[in-house]
Amino acid sequence: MNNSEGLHWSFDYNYGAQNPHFAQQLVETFLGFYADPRAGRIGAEAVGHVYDIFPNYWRGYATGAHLQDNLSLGEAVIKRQQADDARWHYTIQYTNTTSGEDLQLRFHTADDPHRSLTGKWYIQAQNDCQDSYSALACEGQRVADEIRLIVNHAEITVGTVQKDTPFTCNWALFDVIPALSGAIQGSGEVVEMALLEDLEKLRPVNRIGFLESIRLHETQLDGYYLYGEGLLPSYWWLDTHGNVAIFANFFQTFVLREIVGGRA
Amino acid sequence: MNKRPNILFINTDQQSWNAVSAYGNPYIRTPNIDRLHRNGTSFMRSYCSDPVCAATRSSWATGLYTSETGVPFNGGHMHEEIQDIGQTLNTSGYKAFHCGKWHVPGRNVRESFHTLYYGKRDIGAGGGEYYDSASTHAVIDFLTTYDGNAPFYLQIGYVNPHDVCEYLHNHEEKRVPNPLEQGIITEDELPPLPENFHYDESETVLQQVCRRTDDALIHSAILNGVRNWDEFQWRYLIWNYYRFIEKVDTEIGIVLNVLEQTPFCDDTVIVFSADHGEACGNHQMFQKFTLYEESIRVPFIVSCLGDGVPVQKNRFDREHFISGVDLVPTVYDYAGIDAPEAVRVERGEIPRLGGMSVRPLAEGDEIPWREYAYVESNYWGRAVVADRYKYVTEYKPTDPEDFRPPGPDASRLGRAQLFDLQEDPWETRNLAGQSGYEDVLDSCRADLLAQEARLNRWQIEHPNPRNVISNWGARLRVGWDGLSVS
Repeated sequence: MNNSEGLHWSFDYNYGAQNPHFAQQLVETFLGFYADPRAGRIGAEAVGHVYDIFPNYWRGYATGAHLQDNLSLGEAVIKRQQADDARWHYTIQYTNTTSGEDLQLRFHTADDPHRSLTGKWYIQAQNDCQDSYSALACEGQRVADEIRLIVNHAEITVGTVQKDTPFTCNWALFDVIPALSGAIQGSGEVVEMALLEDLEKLRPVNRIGFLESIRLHETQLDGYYLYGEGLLPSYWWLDTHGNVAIFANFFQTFVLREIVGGRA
Repeated sequence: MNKRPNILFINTDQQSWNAVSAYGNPYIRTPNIDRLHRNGTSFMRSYCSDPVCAATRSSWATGLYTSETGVPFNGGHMHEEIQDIGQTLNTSGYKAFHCGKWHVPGRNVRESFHTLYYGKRDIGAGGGEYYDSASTHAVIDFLTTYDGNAPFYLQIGYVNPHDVCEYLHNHEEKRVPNPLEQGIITEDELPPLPENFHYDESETVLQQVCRRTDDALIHSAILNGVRNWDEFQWRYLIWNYYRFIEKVDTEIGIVLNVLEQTPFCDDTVIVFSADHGEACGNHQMFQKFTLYEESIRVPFIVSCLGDGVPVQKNRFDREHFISGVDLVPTVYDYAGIDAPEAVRVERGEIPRLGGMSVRPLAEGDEIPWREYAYVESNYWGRAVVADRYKYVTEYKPTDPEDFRPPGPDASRLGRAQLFDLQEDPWETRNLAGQSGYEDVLDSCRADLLAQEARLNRWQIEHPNPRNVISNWGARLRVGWDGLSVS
């Protein structure tokens, strides 16, 4: 904790010329959630987490005619439910007001700490830009070691992952990191795993480790880092209930705004 | 090749020529750019026309140098009279498509091209984290649905690794803890400090005023932030820079994989390049703008995944000087169309004005070729890169400015840098003032002036670039006045 407004360096957007003020909006969102008694809900039992997306040194949102009072770049809604066969069924709704991309991602994982990707997965992208591209649907699956995608009848292989390598979607990390946090923090070791970013881009070599613990406006947060090939370093801040309260890379910051469902 | 090929121009933003794993860089993995190399020819002496986004992209759009286009720095305004590559191709039997970053001020991309995707908020300088993935989606959608009734020209402008600029803004006012000391990263993962980290400080006044002084004209806040960096911080910048390139390499891989599954694969020639490089700690500098190799030298690959377009595969061309102005004549050559007069060069003719088609070189033909690359920067900066020597100089500002990009005028030339690239490839010893190099310097200066005599440098009329030129010129004159006083 060495920067302005008591924010951690990993999500301290202090670019001097920016208006409106990032810290104020981040803290308002953060405190708005943790002031709610339902924030005591156990993260793993929640059905959905809703995040506001703020910039973190990304300045393009507020240039020229796009200058606005609200810093939000969109939102991400992460929903998961356990099916009768014990697998987890995820639905991700990601809306980005800068790119115009509205992603719906659907996938299943095993009920293991790594939330290993199983079966088929689906990407539905929509975009409301004023150009000819408007939508794309894609389906994927793992065939032996190969990660395959099918889009408009074209089938491609995006890479291979060895069967014994832990492998999941980056969006499942909102559950994986809480699940592994105790082991990581206790042992001081790192966890290595392969990731399928947004269900389409294979990041075969990644590691997750413990960073440090902080208090943000009286809330205890434990920080974990994710480093990998082809990934921006990112930092994941967990509250004491196992919710990812803040996720940040230097480009953007996700701040937990709401929990949907689950036991209070 | 019986019919006119499809042409795919994939470009990245801010990628130095050596940031490719196929070229021997062990600190980065770019399997998909490597694949383009295996299926084509890599030109290892490729130089942008101007080491900033808008300027060099105006050359890509027109085949002209940036003192000719009206965009001689980041933020000019393209001369309305100049026809661009989209307009030409769309009236020549091709369908010209654009996707991603454009950044040519004064020219509406949606009027010149069929645009697949240009952002919900129009793509400006940065934002690869958001825009690049959507660009790939748009290209997949196009490649898997295009009817093929006309050959296509598709240019994909990826933004990354330009997001390294956001990384640098991140460090303007704060210090990020050392991940090495935190145990997050290991020593052997970090690239070493560049060999030219310590450099010869006898640079041009333009370079000093724009990039070195406390109140530098360009990104002084970043400069003030990095001044206190230790060796690790510079090396960590390079480490991060390579991650951005790996990100965009993955996007390129998806496009190539999809292209391979379409009927267009065999008949599509792919040109890959970058608009400029990234200093990344070389010469203790960041970003672009400067005329050192890391900033102006870029990858340039001509490739074909199939066998329908003759291209020498898995080959390095370390001989020929390629320029950013060569893109347009290369595309027109493959398209089999007449170039506008301003950029027309007959096959085998040494260019009098603009670029040359790289196609014969990609096919392995020996043809007459230019003997040096010519690069402009920041309106007043100039460089000539020849086989052994590299000459960097500047024009002094005038008072008042006449808004006609300077040159050729030996009387206005300012300071010079001369590097022996054979003995000193990292540009650490400025030989310009040393005895024994007078003839070399004279020869380089003659090449510069001869090249500039061929250019069609129009006066800049638009008020926005005029304001920049006036303001920067005033600051430069202060810099020169300071020298004369001291």
